[in-house]
Amino acid sequence: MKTHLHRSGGEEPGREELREWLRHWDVPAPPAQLEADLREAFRSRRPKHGPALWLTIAAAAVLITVRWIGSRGHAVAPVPAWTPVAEGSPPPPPPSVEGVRPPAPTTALATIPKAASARPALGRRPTVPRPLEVIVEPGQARLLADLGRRFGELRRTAPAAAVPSTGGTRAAAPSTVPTMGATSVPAYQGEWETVAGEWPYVHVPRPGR
Amino acid sequence: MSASPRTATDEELLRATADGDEEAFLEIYRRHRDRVFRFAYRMTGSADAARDVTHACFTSLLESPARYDARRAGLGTYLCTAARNQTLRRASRQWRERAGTPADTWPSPGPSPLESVLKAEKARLVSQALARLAPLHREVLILFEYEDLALAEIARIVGAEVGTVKVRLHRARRRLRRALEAHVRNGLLSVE
Repeated sequence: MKTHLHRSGGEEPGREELREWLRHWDVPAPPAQLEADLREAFRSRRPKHGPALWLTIAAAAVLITVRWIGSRGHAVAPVPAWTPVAEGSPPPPPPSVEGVRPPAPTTALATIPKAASARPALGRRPTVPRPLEVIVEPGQARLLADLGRRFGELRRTAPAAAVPSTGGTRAAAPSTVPTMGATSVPAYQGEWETVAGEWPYVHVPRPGR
Repeated sequence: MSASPRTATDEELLRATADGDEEAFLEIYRRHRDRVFRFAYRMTGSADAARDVTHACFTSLLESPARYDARRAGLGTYLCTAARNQTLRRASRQWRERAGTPADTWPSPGPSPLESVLKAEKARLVSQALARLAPLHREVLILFEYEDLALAEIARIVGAEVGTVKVRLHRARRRLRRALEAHVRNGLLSVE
């Protein structure tokens, strides 16, 4: 309780008497249970924050590690210039030639590196050019292999017939090219006339020339 | 916390509390509980209400410690401000919920020896007279007369200018005197 009178500048009459009256109202001390309640409140709050904090830290650490590993892998691994990627092909049709084994499926999914973008990469990780996919028709390679095998078999069984020879025809061919006479005018260079009464018009070479 | 809780400053104790030091938090409570509880008790006129207000004030330090700014005021001033806001909020809620005087929550003297009955009766008259004051007048009177706070500190707590606090204090005294003089004339209240 205040006992000095000089804090508010000037003293009102009867103020000390008023203080005496106010002294009649004493207030008890806070109950001891209040401290126990606050201790309980403190303990109940502590575990709430703990797991959430640790969970956040653990999640952040995992995220940073994954990103670091990812960026490291991109930086070390060389980017192949041309990466063929084999894919399964549908089963080939039965071979048309007896005894010729169908080749293995050769469907190829060729990957060709795309030209690097002209715009510089803005992200932290270097952008790897995405390969362009070229799909080859599955029958083409098989057809070529078939033809090759057939040709090889033909050469083995009939070597002479395998490759056509031009020796015989060379002897029969004229040694020189015949010269064209001045009178022997080709028909297309002769006179033509239109057949009367025909529609559409019919042109025939004029006889006797 | 490096220092003992008893010798540490309020700021050190708050930091230790934020780090999970239970003893540091309880040391803060032990330092400031009496003022906060007394103020809440005199403002609300109820021990239960004062207990709730005190509990809320100290748990607010746990929930949002960043709201306390040591550069603006001491921790005691901050806690008194929190108690003041809590009591005013409770008072406005009570006024909305029911039309009645807060004096009906005053503890009755009860059976006791004559001296204690008289003492309790005087306390009841004073508390009732204080309860009839407007909250803005009551709080400055309690902080000044009971809690011995300087006008500047009271001004920080109630969020007003020092001049405004002086005016409120003057009017509170005048009205309290008017209310208590009747009891003095009846012989119920006297200066010992």
